[in-house]
Amino acid sequence: MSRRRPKRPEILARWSRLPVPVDWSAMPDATRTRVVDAMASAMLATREKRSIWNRPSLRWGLAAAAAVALVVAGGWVRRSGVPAEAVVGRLYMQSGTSHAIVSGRELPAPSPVSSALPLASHSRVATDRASTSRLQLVSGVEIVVGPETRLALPDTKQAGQGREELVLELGLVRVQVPKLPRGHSFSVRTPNALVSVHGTAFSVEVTKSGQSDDPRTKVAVTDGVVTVRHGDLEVLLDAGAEWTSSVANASATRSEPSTDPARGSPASPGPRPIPRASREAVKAGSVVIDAGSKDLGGKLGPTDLANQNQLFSDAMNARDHGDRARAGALLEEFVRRYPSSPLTQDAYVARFRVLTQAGDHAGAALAARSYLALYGNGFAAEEARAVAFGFAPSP
Amino acid sequence: MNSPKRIQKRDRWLRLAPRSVVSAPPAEPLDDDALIEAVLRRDVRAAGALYDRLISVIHSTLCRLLGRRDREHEDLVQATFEQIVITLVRGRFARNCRLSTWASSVAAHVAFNALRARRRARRVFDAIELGDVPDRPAVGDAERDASVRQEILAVQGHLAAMNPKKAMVVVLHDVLGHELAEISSMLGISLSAAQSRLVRGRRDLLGRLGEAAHGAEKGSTP
Repeated sequence: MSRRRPKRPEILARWSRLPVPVDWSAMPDATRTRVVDAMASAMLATREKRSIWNRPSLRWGLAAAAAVALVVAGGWVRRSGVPAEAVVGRLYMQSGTSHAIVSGRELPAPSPVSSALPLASHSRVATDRASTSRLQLVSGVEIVVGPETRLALPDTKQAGQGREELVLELGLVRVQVPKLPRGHSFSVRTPNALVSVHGTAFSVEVTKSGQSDDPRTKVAVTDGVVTVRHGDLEVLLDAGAEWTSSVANASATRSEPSTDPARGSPASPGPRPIPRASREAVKAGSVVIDAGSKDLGGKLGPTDLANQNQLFSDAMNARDHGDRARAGALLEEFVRRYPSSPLTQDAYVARFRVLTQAGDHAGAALAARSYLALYGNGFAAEEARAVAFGFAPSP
Repeated sequence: MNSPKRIQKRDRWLRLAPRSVVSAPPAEPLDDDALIEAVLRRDVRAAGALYDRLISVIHSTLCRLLGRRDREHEDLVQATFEQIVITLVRGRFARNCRLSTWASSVAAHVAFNALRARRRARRVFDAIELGDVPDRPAVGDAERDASVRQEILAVQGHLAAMNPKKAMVVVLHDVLGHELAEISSMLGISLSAAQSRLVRGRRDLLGRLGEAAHGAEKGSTP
């Protein structure tokens, strides 16, 4: 007996014929502003891909992934030519231009998230001036690669052993590490430091001064606790504190007097030493930085700090004297040269304000977006959204 | 001799000149692909363009399924747009149908979720007042209008109680008027799956309507 296909219920037909109001254009402007603001926030806040572990259809997803893996195993994926099993991360560009060197081939980082560039172990990433890229490792570590940065991706073998080590040669990275499985660790190796984490947020910057080729490593902790180890001396950095390989004493924001064994004299207010008895506990629970053999108390950077202050001050003076073009140029130079300075956020804000005052709305919108990309919850986020989106912030 | 030209009353008022005429020429509207690419680049300026492009279809879909505009309507509009942006940013829109068509299905999903939430709260018939049903029917027979509205309320309750996948296809096809091929593209399912869901959904709904009518008859019998 064949079962007849049921016809459309009459009530649905009548429902479909009922007229609907077409007065959507009468929706108040405030509603439009609210909705557009919410869309923009969702756009900025949404991660490009939801973790598979959060999906209810996990088993189906795993089955599909296994099927895809079988298909891909015989060939290569995407244009980077990286076999699926060798992919250790994916790169895409957020602003400006950047490129990756994969298996000796130089490839540009694509902008759409959907076509992120798969990278194999030991691939190298380089960003240009004023560009920002985002790197996602298969372990879930999220890395924002700052301008003029060069880094190499972790080794697959190490990753297989639960250790991922990113090599940062120059530039700035902001790292967000999720809670890792037991026994797993993530590290950033710089020319003179090793930063190992088990679940925190921090940034690492490597710079070179003009007179010397010795690179300088700077660590800023956003969340969690960092221990800096150098010889027999360990220093503790809380969230919000910074440490610099050349001016360790001057950089820590929370400090107390201590004796500097390297100099044999009392140090100026600086990072506090940790008793040996507590070191293991600190290492197990948070972040350890191995400063290697570089001199913690080396020369310094008062000049660096002074330069930052001078550059920022020059920009503000130019702005106050109505030279907005010069002010904008100086602020741009500031954020490029000092991406992790305490004044950087202020410089970003001042820059889009100056551009707005100068009538360069496109430039101001771009600058405001750059600010939002780095400081989504910054003190001027609402104002930046208004500049970037072209409407007033909601009250 | 020419008599002075009489000025119409409505023209005696000063009017604001449209600002865009002087300040900037109207921007070229982006096509679907360009708009999606802008969202993927997280170009927040695309949010306004996306809103203007899709508000009419989202508004009409929500009104068709849930009723006329109210405070909750605006919340649902916002939820729909947020869902659209999130889905686009995650690269999960397959682009095998028009953006507006797909947006209609997203709005239908949001409307269904709202219906189910109401049902869960046992407020289906209390919260949806008669005025929430699409008003101003074509024929001015008040008694019949009220009857139709009551039936639609009942159907909304049944749809909210059904398997969401089947109910969605039934609504997209039988209420919103999408073709099966279109629905298969919108939902990312095969044509045969869409057809199967439609048939089973209709059968399920007819069964529920029949049971309800039977129960009403028994209740009215002395």
